[in-house]
Order: sequence, then structure tokens, then C-alpha cells
Amino acid sequence: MGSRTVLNFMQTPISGGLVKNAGAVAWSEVDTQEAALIARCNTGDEAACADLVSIHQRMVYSLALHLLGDRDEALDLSQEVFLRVFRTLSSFRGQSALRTWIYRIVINQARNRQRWWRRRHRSSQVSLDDHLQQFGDVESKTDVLPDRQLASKETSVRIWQALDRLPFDQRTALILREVDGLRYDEIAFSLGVAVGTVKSRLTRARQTLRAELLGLRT
Amino acid sequence: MIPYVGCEYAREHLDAFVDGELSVDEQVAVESHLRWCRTCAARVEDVQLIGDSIRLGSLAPRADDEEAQTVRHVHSSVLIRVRAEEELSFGARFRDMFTDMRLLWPALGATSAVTVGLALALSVLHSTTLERPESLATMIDSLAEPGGERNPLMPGNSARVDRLIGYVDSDRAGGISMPRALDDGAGFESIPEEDATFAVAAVVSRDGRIANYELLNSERSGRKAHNLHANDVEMLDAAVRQSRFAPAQTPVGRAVAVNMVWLIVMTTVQTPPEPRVIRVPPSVAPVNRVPPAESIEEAPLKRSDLLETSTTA
Repeated sequence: MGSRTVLNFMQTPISGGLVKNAGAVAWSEVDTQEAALIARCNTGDEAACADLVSIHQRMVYSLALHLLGDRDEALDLSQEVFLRVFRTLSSFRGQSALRTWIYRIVINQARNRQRWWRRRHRSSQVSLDDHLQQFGDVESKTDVLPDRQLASKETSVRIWQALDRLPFDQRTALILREVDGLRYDEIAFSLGVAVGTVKSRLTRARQTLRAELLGLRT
Repeated sequence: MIPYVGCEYAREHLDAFVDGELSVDEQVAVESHLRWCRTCAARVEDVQLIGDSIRLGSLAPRADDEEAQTVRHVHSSVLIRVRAEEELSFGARFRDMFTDMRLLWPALGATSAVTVGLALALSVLHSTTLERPESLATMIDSLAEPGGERNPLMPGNSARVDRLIGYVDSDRAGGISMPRALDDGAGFESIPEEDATFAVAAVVSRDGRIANYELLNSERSGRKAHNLHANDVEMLDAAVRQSRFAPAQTPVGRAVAVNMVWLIVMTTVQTPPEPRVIRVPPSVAPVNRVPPAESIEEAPLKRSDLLETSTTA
């Protein structure tokens, strides 16, 4: 039940107030379930641990893939993240939603890897063109509103290329906002910074990408 | 009434507007601005297009593709590692130790026995380290160190001095310099003015103090020993304790403890017509004192003050 709620939330198109309301409703529903699940995990209940992984593995892998750009690295990072989650779950005090807390772990782990990994394995990163050729359209467009379908594949590729060149913190903030649909305060907690810092990073990231967009038009 | 806002205000809030992070008033104000400002509206469309492009190119795996299947296996590998860590953790091992409670009491008993045994061994070791003064080890130590407080030298024993010096020299053997009094026997001023003859046996230590002293009654020249009163004994005792010496030294300059015996004779000299008693404070230095020259001229002595000091073994 919990996993279905989260997955639906992740596939919900991100557009302003709709996302906020959907997220708020979903979190208020899973709060008690999360607490019970965490309690069971802390007692060593293997089934509960399996449930927790099942609920969050897709989200963790997706974010790791977006931050690192390599499937194998993303899978490896996902395992490391969950191991760290189980090691430190007893210290989780509900200061945020469990999902946001896991996001924070993913980002910290990815930041540590990204510093050296990108310098050494940049050539083996996944090309978006290759990815599209292999998997086709990666997202179902049935939920995308008609007026949002202006984005073309070519634009998307250029935007992702520009996104890949952004500093890690700006790229992470924008991915958390646009892909994962986190609110500013959730992004701030995940990154360990103030909300004002999140706003400025998003603004700077979008300015850079807008310049890329303007270059496409000319 | 809808507040009017300019482009500067709107641009500051465009990102938050698109992200739905503005308050209702701010949202309404920006929306009203976008109705007539094409430039800001175009910016909003660009920001929305950027978001759409990012989501379009998202690398998130679809639910039915092979990659998603791989992701689903993440949890199996994670659980295997979690289980392995759990099995290897100290807490798990500790719990395993108490799964079979039959071993608890034997383990506690063995632990107690080891503790008691260690305590006994430590107490025995502690007691054996205290060396008794009459033990053979102490005697060997003292004999190995001639000239110490526990084995004072006898100045006449040249063989021991030779051993102490380290070489044999017939001219210098036995040539220990005697302790020299530093305070000139000031403590003897309080002894009553009576004729007295007595002996003190003592050890002069390496720091010049008197230790193990003993008052000896003796006879001299066939006369009966003079019996001292209790007060006199206390005064003599205090005088001995207060005495300080330059310690005895071997020819090579090493300070040594020596056995000393002082024979102290106090006599009274009376001269007519004006009887005068000259009491000479006994000196513990090995020198014979003579009266000052002027005293001899003014009042010839009938009996000489005599202080005999002997050093014997």
C-alpha cells in the first residue's frame, strides 16, 4: 500500500500546487505507516527491511542515476545508500519524512562519489541519445498536460547536456525540484542548506539553462 | 484589490511562482503582472519549458523494462548484506552467547575463580616486595655497600676501606677523614657543672647526622662510674641530636657513614682566691682543646680541662 502511494506520487506530473497537495496528502497518509515500518526495521524485522527497500529503491536509483549518469554506479550507490539507511535508521528521529531523509543520504553519497568518479569515468557516462535510442521515450506522456508538450527531444537533450555541466549543488537542486518534485524546504533539508540558498541555486541553474534555450532558438 | 507589481518584483518571484512556493497574495500579484507583461510571461514559459525538458529526458527506468528489473534486485542484494552485517555484528554475537543459558553459571563461576586467583597472586606479590630489615637479602645488600647507614665503616678497618676505594694503597689505607663538628658542641652548654665521665657510641651518617647513638656508663682510671641524673641524660640526648657534622670521607672524596665512640670527661677547675669554673663545652671533633692563653695567664689551672675524644672501632 505504501509503495503504491509513493510510486504514484513519483509519476505525478510536477506542476505547481497540484504536486504540493498530492505530496502533502500522501505524506500525511504514510506518516504512521512509516513510523511502524521504521520501528519494525529497528527490531531487525527482515520483512520490514524488504518493504522499506521496495518502497524507496526506485526513487533512490533514479536520483543516483540522474546525479551520477551511470547505471552501474547508480546501482552500486543504491546499495550503499540502503546499507547506510539501515545502519543509521535507529538515529532517525522523524525530523523530516523518511523519503527526504533518504534523499539526503543519496545526495551525500553521490557527492562523495561524483568528485572523483566524474573525472575518471566521464567517457563511460550514459549518453542521453544512446539512452533514448535504447529505451525510446523514457517517460509515459499520458499524464503530461497538453500545454507542457512543447518540449522536444532535441531540446531535452540540449537541456540535459547543459544540466550536466552545472555545478553539483545546482544540478541536484534542480533535479530534486523538477524530477522528484520536492518542495523548497525538503530540498533544503536534503542538501543541508537554507531555503534561501535553494532559491538562489535554482534561479542560477535556470538562468544558465535559459541561456542554452535561447541559444537553441537562434 | 489586486496590487500592482513591476517587472523587477515579478522576476524575483518567477521561479517561486512556477514552483508554487509563493503565498496566495504574491501568487495573485505575479499572475496579474503576467497578464500584461509579455517579457515576464515569456520568462515563465521558458522556466516551464526547462522543467518539461528535464522531465522528458529523465533517465528514470520504466516499470516494465529490463533496468527496472535490475533495480528490483537491489533490495535482495541489500538484504543479503544487511543480514551478513547483522550476523557479524557484536550485538548479534553477544546475544548468541546467551542463547544457551546452561553455560551461564559455569562461565560466571570460572570468571569469579579467575578473579579471586588474580587477587591472591597480586596480594602475594605485594607482600613479598616489602623487604624485612633482618632478612638475608637486606644483609647482603648492606654488606655489598660498605659505608652506608646500615653498614657503617670502622675507621681502623683498612681492608674495608681498600675495597671501598677500589685499589690498595698502603699509605692511604684506612685514611678516612673523621667527621668534623660544625656547631662546636653548643648543646653541651646546658649540662650541669659537675664532674662527669661518660661515653657515647653513635653512627655518623653520610649526611652528617647522628644515628643509633647510645650512652655508655664507664669507669676511668679505676674511679667509679658517674651516675647521671635523668635530667642530665635528657640534656645530653638533646645535645647529641642537635649536633651536626661534616660527614666522613674516603680518600677519593666519597661520604661514608662511620661508627664513632666519644669518651667525654668533664672536670671542674677551681683557682684561689677567686674560684672560677671554666666549663669547656665538649667538642665532638677529634681535637684536644686547650684553654685560651689569657685564661692561663690570669689563673693557672690546677686541673686541666680535659676532653678526650677517641675513635674506636
